[in-house]
Amino acid sequence: MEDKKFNRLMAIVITLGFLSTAAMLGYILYLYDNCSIIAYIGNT
Amino acid sequence: MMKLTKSQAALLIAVIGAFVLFDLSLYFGYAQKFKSGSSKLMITKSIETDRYLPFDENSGIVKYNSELTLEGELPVLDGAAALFPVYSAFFNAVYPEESCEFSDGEFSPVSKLQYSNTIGAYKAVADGSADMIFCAAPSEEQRQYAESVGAELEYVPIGREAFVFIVNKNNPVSSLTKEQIRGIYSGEYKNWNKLGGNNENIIPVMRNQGSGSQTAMEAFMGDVPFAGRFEINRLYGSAIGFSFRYYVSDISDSSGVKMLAVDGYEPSLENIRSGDYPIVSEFYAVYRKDNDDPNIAVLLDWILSPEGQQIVAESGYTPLK
Repeated sequence: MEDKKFNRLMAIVITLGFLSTAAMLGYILYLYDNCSIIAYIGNT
Repeated sequence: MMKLTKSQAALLIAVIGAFVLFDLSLYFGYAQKFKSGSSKLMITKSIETDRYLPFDENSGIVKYNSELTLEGELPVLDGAAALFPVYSAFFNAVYPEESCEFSDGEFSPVSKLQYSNTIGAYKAVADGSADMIFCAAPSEEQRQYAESVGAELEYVPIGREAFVFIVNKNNPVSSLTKEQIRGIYSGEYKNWNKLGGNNENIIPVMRNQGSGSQTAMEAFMGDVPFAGRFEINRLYGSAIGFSFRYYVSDISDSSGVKMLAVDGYEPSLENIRSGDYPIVSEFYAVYRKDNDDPNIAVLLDWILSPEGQQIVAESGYTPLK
């Protein structure tokens, strides 16, 4: 693949990667806000 | 179709693989810890109020047929999550049924029974929207708020409860001294292996400011300062937390935790009543001194009577005598 097209592909992949990580962090924050202390200790 | 060279394919796979691995480590490292099987009501309100409603034949409260039925201006009751089953039982015993209105998980604004938890209840009694609340001792901020709105509050002890420390049920540590617990929360002890446990970081969990158990914890620590919150929230390890005994044993799903013995004494009802368990505090009926509703005195006298204290005992707490 030409370098220019490959670089565009990599930019898309990296952007999607960061978006998925951001979504995972958002999910963890949501769980943290809705977690009971007792459930947390039971899971830790 | 455009073909990737070998090096391009390798780079692409490496980048995708790095993101996948990182996200999976976040999921298994953190998301799993915070997952709770609790109901929505339990998560948002800290108690499933619909399980402890008065006048409900399936309710989990103590049912008592008292000869006393309050009439006239009925005091609005409110309080802490851990004490909701108790004051709901009081309500069930002496209030007329039509004075409680509950639907879709909420009490109506005109209901004489309310639940706002400790923080909400202390504000409500200071502001005058609740006549009597049932809570542990107030935080300094709650005292100051009452003072700022000109509310002089009266605190009447109505029962006693153990303040307990909980760890994961697989933690080999089953007993700590008061000094060791203070040492954990001050940062002196950072690893369970210093306390007879596994080689794991200790994660001391705190509660939100103003909650009954956080206030009780601050009183327990006394002059021993807490370690900084950032330092306290260590990322990996095995956690320790605190709460009130009845809340852990009867209200929450505590299948994954166990309560620690303190200074060699388990927080059993027997040890609490005998005074052997060393961390027992009173809980209170709180009202404004300038509240002239005559039913306040009537209700309080009844709560402190053998009938009221029997409800306290059968609800799982320790009566005053």
